[in-house]
Amino acid sequence: MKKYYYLFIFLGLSILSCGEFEEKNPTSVENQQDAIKADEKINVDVDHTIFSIPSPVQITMDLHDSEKGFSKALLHDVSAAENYVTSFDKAIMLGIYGTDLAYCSVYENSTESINYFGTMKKMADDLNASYALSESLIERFSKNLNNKDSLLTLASEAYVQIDEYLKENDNKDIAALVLAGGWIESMYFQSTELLADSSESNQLRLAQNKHTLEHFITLIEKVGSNDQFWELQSMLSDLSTLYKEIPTSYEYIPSVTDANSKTTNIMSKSSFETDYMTMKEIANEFINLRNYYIK
Amino acid sequence: MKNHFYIALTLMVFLPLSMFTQTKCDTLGAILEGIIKQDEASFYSDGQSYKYFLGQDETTEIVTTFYEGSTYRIATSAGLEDNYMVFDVLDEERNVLFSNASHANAPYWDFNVKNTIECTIEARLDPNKKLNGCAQLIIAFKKAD
Repeated sequence: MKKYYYLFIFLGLSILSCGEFEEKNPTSVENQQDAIKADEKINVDVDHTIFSIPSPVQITMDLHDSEKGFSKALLHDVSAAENYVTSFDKAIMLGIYGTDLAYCSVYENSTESINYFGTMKKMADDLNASYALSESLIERFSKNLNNKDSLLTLASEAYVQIDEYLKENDNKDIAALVLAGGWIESMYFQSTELLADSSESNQLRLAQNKHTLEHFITLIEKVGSNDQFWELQSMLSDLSTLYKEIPTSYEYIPSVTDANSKTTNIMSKSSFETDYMTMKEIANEFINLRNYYIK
Repeated sequence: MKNHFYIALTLMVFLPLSMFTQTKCDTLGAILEGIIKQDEASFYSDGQSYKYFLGQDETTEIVTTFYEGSTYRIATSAGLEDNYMVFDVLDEERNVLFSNASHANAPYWDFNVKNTIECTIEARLDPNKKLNGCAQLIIAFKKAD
């Protein structure tokens, strides 16, 4: 019997070494089975299409560029985190607090950043995603409170870790709601900005979210499982009706690629014909939507 | 005794295999993180995870909006070699704006966006290099220089 055990040890080690060999040999075609099985799709796809949602960090950076100062009144109070009971509400709030964290980080407000990071962690714990935010991320966050670039990187990483954890643990509906909450808060910021300053650039910024809105409506339809999802979808559809009043056009222009710098300049143009009255209606609708969810 | 023998057999064969493959999928994120930070570029991830199991001839599509005034970096990985994946960037009329197949399957590429547009990123494994397995893609951005 003993000789069989030695045989099995040899067999196990052989499998390990074969895998390494295949990976390192560029001439061989790999067909190794990886940890994710073919029938496990981590991302929520709709007819094999995944929708990428703009990062809250990107939208808050745009706000910062408009040279408006930090406004705590824009943010959702961290002490309200206790008010949310259902998984639906907690997921939306995790997204909202995530965007608030990005906003604080962009404005280098370290005290508020740590408050919002802590609240995000609590919300993730409540959603049984306590392992989503790794210990190393938490440690790096507390060590980099005075470094804006690091805080923004860590805020982005926190979003990725939560998104990945929820999707890998078959909570794709919750992951979609976290994205929705983050985007709704971003649109709330842009809408508030538009009502204070009706410049064309602010109108365009909000108009350019027309496609993202359509992606969310499709995504919620795909992952939705109860009336709360259908209610959110209905409110987004009302916004879509308003967005249809903004004519859009697209012109294809060939891109210009520089292989040395590994860069392509995308020259194609899309345009949005905005008018202030419609954009003001859209802004008010976004503000109502965000305020509907906060308690 | 016979049962113990078969349990030992199963563990010896499948446990190492399972540990190896799990590690391999998990390492893709770290590889991509390195690519994002390459050239000391200050790119930020868009906050989403795009990880798949791709089969032979299987393609995945990511629909995204590229906002004006930003530079985007698309990075892909499907293992330790950096040329396993092919990705194309298409516009809303499905015109090809870029294909890394024309650049030796470069694992990353940067895109300067002058005007906000809707794009589709199509990604697949290069069948000459890898038939199936884990693949991951990252979309990162920074303000244009």
